Amino acid sequence: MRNRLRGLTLVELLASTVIASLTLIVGANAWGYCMTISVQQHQTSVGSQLARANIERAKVLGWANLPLGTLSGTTATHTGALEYFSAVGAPLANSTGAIFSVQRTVTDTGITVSGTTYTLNPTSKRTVTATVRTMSPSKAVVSMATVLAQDGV
Amino acid sequence: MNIKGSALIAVVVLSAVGATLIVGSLMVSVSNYNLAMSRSNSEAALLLAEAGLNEELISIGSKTSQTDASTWVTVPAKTSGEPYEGRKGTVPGVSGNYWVYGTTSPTVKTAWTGTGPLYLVAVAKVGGAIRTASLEVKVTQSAGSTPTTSGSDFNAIVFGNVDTKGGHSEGPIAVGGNWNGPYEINQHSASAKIGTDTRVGLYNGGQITRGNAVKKVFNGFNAYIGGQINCILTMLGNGTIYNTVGTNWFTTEESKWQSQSDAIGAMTDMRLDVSDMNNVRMDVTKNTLNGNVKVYWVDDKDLAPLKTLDIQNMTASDTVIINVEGSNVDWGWQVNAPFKNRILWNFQNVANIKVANRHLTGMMLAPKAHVQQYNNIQGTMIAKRWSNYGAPEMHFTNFKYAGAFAAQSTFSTTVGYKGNYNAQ
Repeated sequence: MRNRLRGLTLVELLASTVIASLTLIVGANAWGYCMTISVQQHQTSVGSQLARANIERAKVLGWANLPLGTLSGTTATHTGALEYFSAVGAPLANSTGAIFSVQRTVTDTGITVSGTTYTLNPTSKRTVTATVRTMSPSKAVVSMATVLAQDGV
Repeated sequence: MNIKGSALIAVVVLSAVGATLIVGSLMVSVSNYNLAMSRSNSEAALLLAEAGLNEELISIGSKTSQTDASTWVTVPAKTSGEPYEGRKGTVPGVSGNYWVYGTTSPTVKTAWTGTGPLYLVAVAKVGGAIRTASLEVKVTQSAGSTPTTSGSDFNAIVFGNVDTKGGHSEGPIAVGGNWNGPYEINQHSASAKIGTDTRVGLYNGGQITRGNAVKKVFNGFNAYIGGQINCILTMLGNGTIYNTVGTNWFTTEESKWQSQSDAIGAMTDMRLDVSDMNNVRMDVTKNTLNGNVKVYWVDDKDLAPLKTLDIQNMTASDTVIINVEGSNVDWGWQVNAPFKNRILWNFQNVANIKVANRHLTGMMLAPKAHVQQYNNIQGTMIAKRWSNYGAPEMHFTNFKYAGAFAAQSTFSTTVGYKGNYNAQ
């Protein structure tokens, strides 16, 4: 028995320990990075679908029917209510259990201002932005935007 | 057995296997992430391209007071240092740009001269994603004339030649050119008035021809024939044949109806939703652009599929007008409406209309069109030329405007999405 273990020298043991330790350290970091990037990939995938869907709903509602905003100079902005979604993008009634929130803003320019109110005219531009955020921590993951015209697409 | 060095070898092997697995996982994760980013950028780029199209529409709309229409649109030329043709722009909140221009066709890059088809093309780039979108633009210009509210007491007015194989009309008919072939005219009791004669059944500026073909004028109404009578003309009920026709009557009528068609075509209109493959529903209460005159528009190709148009919530105070864009119509719609004598189809620039698959219901205002009739027309027809096949009927519904048009602005131009949207 003693003869059989003659090859397990201290140097060999040290080298093995160092290699194993380095492998574990690098592997654990890489694994952590994998997990992080997988989460980001999931957030980007679901988030971009939520943002696109939100803007498509705005397009269906139409240039004329989107709500008017609060006037500031010659620009008006309407900030919509937060909408909540699960990890797979299913809509939720409130923030309980929500992983994502989506908020739409409509910015109107080229408008006809009359005192403290305004109206749209045929050349008014309505910029629709949908921002998707994670709930905890609150972080913007995707933001998409487009411009609507009166008789446009 | 000598196992000297085996522990080191075992650790190295296990480390190598572990490293391979981790590197593999890392590569898959990064690849998936890049794919997700690429898709996200692609979606954002398409929205940005659409933003470019809409921005250009708005830009055109803001320039339409300039009389030279060719200056309204961005030309398809590259600015120095830019990768794509057209005007560069962006939308706040998006890390990318679009380039948009106008052209005469989506497949070529030719500057629009101010007339003819106009397409907008936008290329957008977000991250590494590049998307292109294009559409055809509807440009309507008006000199500011307000349409009148006069209908016609003729069942048909044709400014040029007519060729019929048979059939009959319920009301009187006026033909500016020669009329070749048999027909039975004015089977019902409503007659037309020209000058002091209130009993006009047929008013024909040229010859009536075709050997032994028989034309009959019913109910004792009168016939006016400007040219020779080279067919059998039977006057049932003993109406009188006159060999005189007012020299300017057809010229005046053609000018009047063309102006009417142009004025209606320039009115602000709403696109009729034809996306349903079977039924087209028109709820007139949702069209508030011109009061009780409900003006819509469709493309000529929209009318070809066999569909049913249901006009809903129309009251006796409403007039429904549908402007038809394009140049060739193959009619395929059945029309259901509570007031069929208050529907006007305005074929302003249409060159050919084929009525074969379904009856056409409503007044047909087509001053430039050659109408080829295989099926019934249920309303007044105003056309450039008329040919019929078989023995289709012309029904007189006595089209009436329910109310007056609001005065149109002195000069107006509308610009909007016409169709042919394409995204790549």
